[in-house]
Amino acid sequence: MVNINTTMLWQLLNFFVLMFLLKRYLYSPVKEILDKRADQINSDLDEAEETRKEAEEIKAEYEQKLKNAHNEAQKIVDKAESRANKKAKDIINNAEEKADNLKAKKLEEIEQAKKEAAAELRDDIADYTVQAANKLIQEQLDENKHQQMIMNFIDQLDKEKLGELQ
Amino acid sequence: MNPGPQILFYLFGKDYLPITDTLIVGWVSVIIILIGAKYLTTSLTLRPNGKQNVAEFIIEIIYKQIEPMLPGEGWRFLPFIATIFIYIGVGNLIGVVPGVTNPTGDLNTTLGLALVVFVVTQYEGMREYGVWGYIKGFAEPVIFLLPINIIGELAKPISHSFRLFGNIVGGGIIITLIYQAAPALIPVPLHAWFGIFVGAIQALIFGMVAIAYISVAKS
Repeated sequence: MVNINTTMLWQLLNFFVLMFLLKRYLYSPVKEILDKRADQINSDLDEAEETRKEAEEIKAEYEQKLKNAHNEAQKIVDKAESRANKKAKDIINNAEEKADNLKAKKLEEIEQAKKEAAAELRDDIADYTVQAANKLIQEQLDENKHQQMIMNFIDQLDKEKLGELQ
Repeated sequence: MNPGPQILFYLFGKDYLPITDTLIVGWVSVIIILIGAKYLTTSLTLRPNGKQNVAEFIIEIIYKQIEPMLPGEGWRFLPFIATIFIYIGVGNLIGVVPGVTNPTGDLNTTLGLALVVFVVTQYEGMREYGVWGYIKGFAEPVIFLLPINIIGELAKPISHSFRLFGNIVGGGIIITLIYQAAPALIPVPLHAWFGIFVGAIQALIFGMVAIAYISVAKS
């Protein structure tokens, strides 16, 4: 029942042949595929991490760009606003100036007209006064001398500002 | 009744190279294992399918037994230890088939494997500490423990081999006795018990003890 013989060598041969063949057909291929999978998972994870970082960078970049665009837009709006304000002010100033000019011109014209009217009135008054004087005193005076006398009288009135025609 | 290996015929004439039934079953086991391994590892892919999962499960579960005991050297020892697990496991379980003798029920098989483990253990110990350093380890912690340590070391392959051999042969003897004494109904669960449960447990123990011996020699 218990005897040790050459079967031991045969069994050892069995064992070593089995070990050799299993290493070749089972252990090595399985280890290889396990390593490969581990590598693949590692590299996939690394890649994912890298992609995430890249995405974050791009996101930050775009956010910055968006911010810049906002700022620029704000600047443009501000500039346009200030320009518009300036233009409006200019227009108002121009209009005011024009209005002032026009007013001054019209005043001058009125003044002129007033002067002319006063002169005319003065002449007319002189004529009427001469005629009235003629009628009133019925004196035979030389008309030219008479005219002169009245003109003097009126001038004196002007000097004393009694007529208030100027 | 004559338990144990039966010599079926002699290769090269009378009395030379006896071929026993255990040896033939051993060859059959090897062929079954190789066919199984080849079947499980055809078309390995990164995304495993059913049979590839089985192959990876077997390798990984054995690897996980080795790695904690021999840190960093799991893959170096895997072919040796995994072959012990698989060969003894199949050798034990094949006895469930009625009329088939376990190759592990032959002391030649178990002692042979235990001696290989013994040699590997000594080699690993010397590789770790140097030849002289390893031998000096037997004289520690005090010199007069040297003979006891040496006897203890030499007892390892004997206990290692006889444990497996005794369990398998003992199971076989009990089953044979009950087959003779009782009707066919009772031995079937008992046969399954000794064949499957004890067989699996003993294969696990043999492999774990081999790992433990190597681990002890290296520490």
